Amino acid sequence: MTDKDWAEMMNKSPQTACKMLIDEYGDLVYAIVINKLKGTADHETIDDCVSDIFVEILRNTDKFLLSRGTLKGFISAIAKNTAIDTFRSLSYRHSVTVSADSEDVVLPPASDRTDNEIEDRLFRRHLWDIVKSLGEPDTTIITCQFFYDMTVQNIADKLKMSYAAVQKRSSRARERIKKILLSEDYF
Amino acid sequence: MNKKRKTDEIEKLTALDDDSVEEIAEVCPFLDESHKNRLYALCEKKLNADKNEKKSILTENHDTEYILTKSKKKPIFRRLFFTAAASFTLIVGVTALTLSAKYALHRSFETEKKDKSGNKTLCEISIESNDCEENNADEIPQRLVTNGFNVYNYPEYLAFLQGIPKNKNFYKYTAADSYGAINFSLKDLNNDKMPELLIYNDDTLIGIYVDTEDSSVAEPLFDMDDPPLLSLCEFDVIRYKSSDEPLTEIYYKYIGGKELNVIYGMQSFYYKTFNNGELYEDGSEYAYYAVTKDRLPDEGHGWDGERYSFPDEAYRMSESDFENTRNKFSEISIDHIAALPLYEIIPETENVSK
Repeated sequence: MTDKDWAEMMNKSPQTACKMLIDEYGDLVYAIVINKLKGTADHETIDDCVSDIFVEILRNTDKFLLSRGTLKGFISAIAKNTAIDTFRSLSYRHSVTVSADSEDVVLPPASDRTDNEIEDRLFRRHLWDIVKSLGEPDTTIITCQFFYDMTVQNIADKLKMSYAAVQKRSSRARERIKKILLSEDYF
Repeated sequence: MNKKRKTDEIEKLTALDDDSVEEIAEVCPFLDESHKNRLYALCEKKLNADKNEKKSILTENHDTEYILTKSKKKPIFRRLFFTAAASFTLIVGVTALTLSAKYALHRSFETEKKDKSGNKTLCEISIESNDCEENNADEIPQRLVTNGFNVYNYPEYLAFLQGIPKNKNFYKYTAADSYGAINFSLKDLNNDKMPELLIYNDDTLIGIYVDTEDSSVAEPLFDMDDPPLLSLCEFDVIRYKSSDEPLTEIYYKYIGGKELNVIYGMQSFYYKTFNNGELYEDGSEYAYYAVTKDRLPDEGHGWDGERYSFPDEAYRMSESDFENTRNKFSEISIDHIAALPLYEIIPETENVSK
């Protein structure tokens, strides 16, 4: 589906266009949202956020048509912003006011945090490269288990493998990752 | 904001860079078809909530009390008006049916019925619609009531049989309402076979046959005290299908009694469709669906002002499963599972050949 195809379909049948959008970019949007909300939101909230993103995209179609960017870029931008908004909303909802006298109060993070962020980000990128290099089905198993937070049973169902096989492959794959990182003096 | 939460936030917002995330989506896509359908249903619900100033019928119907309460409130002037209109229509006969359904709460007309011997008798048919707002009368099913049977009629000429007189060989009813002419034929070919109702829109068969557990007894399909609730749901499914892909058959299981209050909870639909003669992606001429109580989500139904949406793919089933289900249904013998109707629906659109 080209961007033009989609824009035309949006004019003809918004419902079909919405389906096309989810078919084509659903996985990307889901990955973006998971990346931002993992560990913070449950699956229901994540689905809700993903649907919010598509609704937002459909509501702002005219903005995309007027822009010169690609649909993918447009979608990614909306997805990221919406996911971050959702994250902040969840954080706000769970926030607790703490007395300044409390022992739990911790000072703001140190100024060298930015360096750490960059290091973390580079490390994660490198880690993903290693996971990719594992080959299938290990790449999928590790990604599903640690990026999508799927259970071993769900991964087994998805890959049509036995529970034990998934568990075993996951364990071996992690060993391999550890060895690679050790050999690169990451620890 | 304490340090821990601040750290958490930074971690979440910088977990992986954009390129990595994009690669993950390509290398390891997460969504399967049913998940995509769920997302689509969620989107549609949200979009509908945006643009629908008038409430979805389905949304309203989730609230049983709402329907029941609503139907009891008839403005006096309207009662008077329509009582007068009903009397008038009785006198002038069939032509009185041209009164707009939007204003008709109770209408009656006379029509002709014939048996095979050619004897003609007059049979009174009255049309009752639920009490409803004038501006959305189209959304409320009407009920055709005869001495022998009741038919729930919807604007798309969908009908529902409620009870059948026994030992009637052949009747043909011609009726007309604001949606056009509809002919009703009722057949009971012999005592061993089930009574059959065929419904035509002009010459096009859009009708139904009804099967009952015991052919010697014409059982009503619904609890007469509470019929519209279920029929609305039935029609919601069919209405959508008829406006897009023609529905060729629908089987449903109905369990009566007080569980009627649970509108969706006690229903299962099994239906098959054909796509204007085009083959489906799996090469078959028909697609088979099961909408059962454990698979019917709250989301996924929406009225967008023109039609209902329905996430088909979530309910696809194989032909063999469909056939097995049909067979199982035939064998069910529970008092409250009163019937197994087969709908044969042809929509209003001209592009469907049967």
